[in-house]
Amino acid sequence: MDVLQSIMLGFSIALTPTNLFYAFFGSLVGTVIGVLPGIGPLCTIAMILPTTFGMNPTSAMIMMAAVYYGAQYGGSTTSILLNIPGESASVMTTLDGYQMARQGRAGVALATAAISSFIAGTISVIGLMLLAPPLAKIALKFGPPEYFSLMLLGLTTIVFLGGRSIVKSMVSIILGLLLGIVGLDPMGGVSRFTLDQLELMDGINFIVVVMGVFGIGEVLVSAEEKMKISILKTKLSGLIPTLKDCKEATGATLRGSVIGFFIGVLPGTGATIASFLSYATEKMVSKHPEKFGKGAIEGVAGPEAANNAAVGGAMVPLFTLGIPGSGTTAVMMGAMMMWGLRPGPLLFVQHQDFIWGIIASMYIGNVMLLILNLPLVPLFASMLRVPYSILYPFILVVCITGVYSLENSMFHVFLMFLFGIVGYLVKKLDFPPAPIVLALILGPMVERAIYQSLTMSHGSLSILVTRPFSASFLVLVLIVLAIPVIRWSKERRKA
Amino acid sequence: MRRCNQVVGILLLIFSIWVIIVSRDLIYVEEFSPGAGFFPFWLGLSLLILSLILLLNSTIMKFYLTEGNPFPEKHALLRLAYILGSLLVSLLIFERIGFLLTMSVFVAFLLIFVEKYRWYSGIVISVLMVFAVYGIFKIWLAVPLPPGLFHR
Repeated sequence: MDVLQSIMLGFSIALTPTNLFYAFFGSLVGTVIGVLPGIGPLCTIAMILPTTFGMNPTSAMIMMAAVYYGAQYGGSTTSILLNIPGESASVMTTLDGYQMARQGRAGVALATAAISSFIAGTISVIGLMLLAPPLAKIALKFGPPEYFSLMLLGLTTIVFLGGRSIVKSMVSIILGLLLGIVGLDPMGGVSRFTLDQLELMDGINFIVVVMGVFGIGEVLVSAEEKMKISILKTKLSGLIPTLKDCKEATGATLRGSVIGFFIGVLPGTGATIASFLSYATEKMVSKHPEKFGKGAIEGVAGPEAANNAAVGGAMVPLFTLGIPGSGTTAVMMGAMMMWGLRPGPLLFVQHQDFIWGIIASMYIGNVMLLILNLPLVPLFASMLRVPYSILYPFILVVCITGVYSLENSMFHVFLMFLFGIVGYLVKKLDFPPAPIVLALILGPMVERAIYQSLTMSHGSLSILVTRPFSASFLVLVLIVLAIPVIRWSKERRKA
Repeated sequence: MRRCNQVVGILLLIFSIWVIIVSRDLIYVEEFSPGAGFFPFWLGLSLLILSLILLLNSTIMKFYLTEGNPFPEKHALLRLAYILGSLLVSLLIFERIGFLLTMSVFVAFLLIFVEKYRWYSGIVISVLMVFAVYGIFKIWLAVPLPPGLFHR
């Protein structure tokens, strides 16, 4: 089936009333949580996950994907009106977006963010549509050694390109992998690290960890101090950018889309780094770099395009290789496994309706978001008036109910409470929390891949370097490992 | 931050030693493949090395010197204690008292005592909020939530 036929099949699925409803609902929820500071797409997707168990997996995934990209749209609103990024990926938008708002151009900044996001979202879905099928075809040839090396590459890039302390990122990954080994071992069925608790035999459910670390942990960090939000009092009329604005924003949007998509494909980087890189690029190519930070429209268009395009990019490794590149896609992958789907290249063969239905729905979702975001910007902005003091009890109640509903067990709820405290401490001590979730979900897969590889080679690690794809991934691992060493030696030479 | 990292380093070191000890009780290598203890052993060892690096960085190399104390002042800690304490108590009585009553009281407590809402606003908001969540999970999704005192 060629791409055109596949996407037609996708549209026939995405355009059913049920799936249209879920795409709309997901986009709306995504925008709202993007607008509200203190709650992100990762936690929201985990919170809505228990509600999807009775649903058709395609509809459920359409809704989750819509929450993910919807959050990137909504994140710009707080950046522009409050100077507070609703999402970490919208940090760069605060620099020029807030300045535009102070100059009375809030409407134009919000509209530029929405239009750039729409264009970038659409470009990234086209990229996903074109890149995913050939990549999936190659991935069909992969065996356990290739998967092990690939996952090692993914985890290494998260550590070395994540931008945080390398040691702390590595600790987060190891802790996540250790959480992943709790329960019965995947090959022999031996019970490990269960502390004689029957409830731990099946392992630690990733939803419990996500809700704890990203739900309760985030609430504790945010609720430390009373959040005082002061919205910039400015007119939101005049949403249509002028011809000059459009001219200035077009290049930035296109560059941001390309940067965002390819950065999104890389594991461990994601929307935040994409927006940083896009902003830096725009400043570099601009004839007036001095305007940046003072209300340059390119400083809004570029990063907003990049953070949206990164979502489409992040779906590429998830769908084709079954390897998530970020915490949010890791939760989506966990959800797919809970619905009985095996993420990876076989999805393109065995579940074409699922894959293409989601890809087509992303086109539709982007159109919905544009329609939602342009006229409803004042409504979303008014949502910022919902105080965090009301929002966080709601998050806590949903987390408790959601985790309880998994197995009707208080054991998991108490475990979530414990992970909430861990999540708080992890954030306070500057350990990145997303790699914990990612490694927890990847952990059993990494273990299974290395066991199978060593079984294939009768215990010899040489199997990892004698197979061309596996060897290439290991070379990439070495390159990624070399980057900080090169950077360090350069800095030393300079000093 | 330096002191915090030293404490974390020591805790991670103890934890990694425990992981290594437990994994040594599991089979390391089967006839043709690694056993159940293979992966945990290497993870434990990696964590041990990382915790030593963290300790070294914060003690001898004196990294993190410029970073201040990450934890909040007494007032904010008290807020956290109220939130965590009320959450823990709610979880302990959750199944016995039931979803509706426990969650309503929990949310009302947070709003009235921690966030200083007027008592009637706190009660109205908490009841509306809890009934909304109840509607989604119990009525729409048919998730069995503990009825507690309302059990017939």
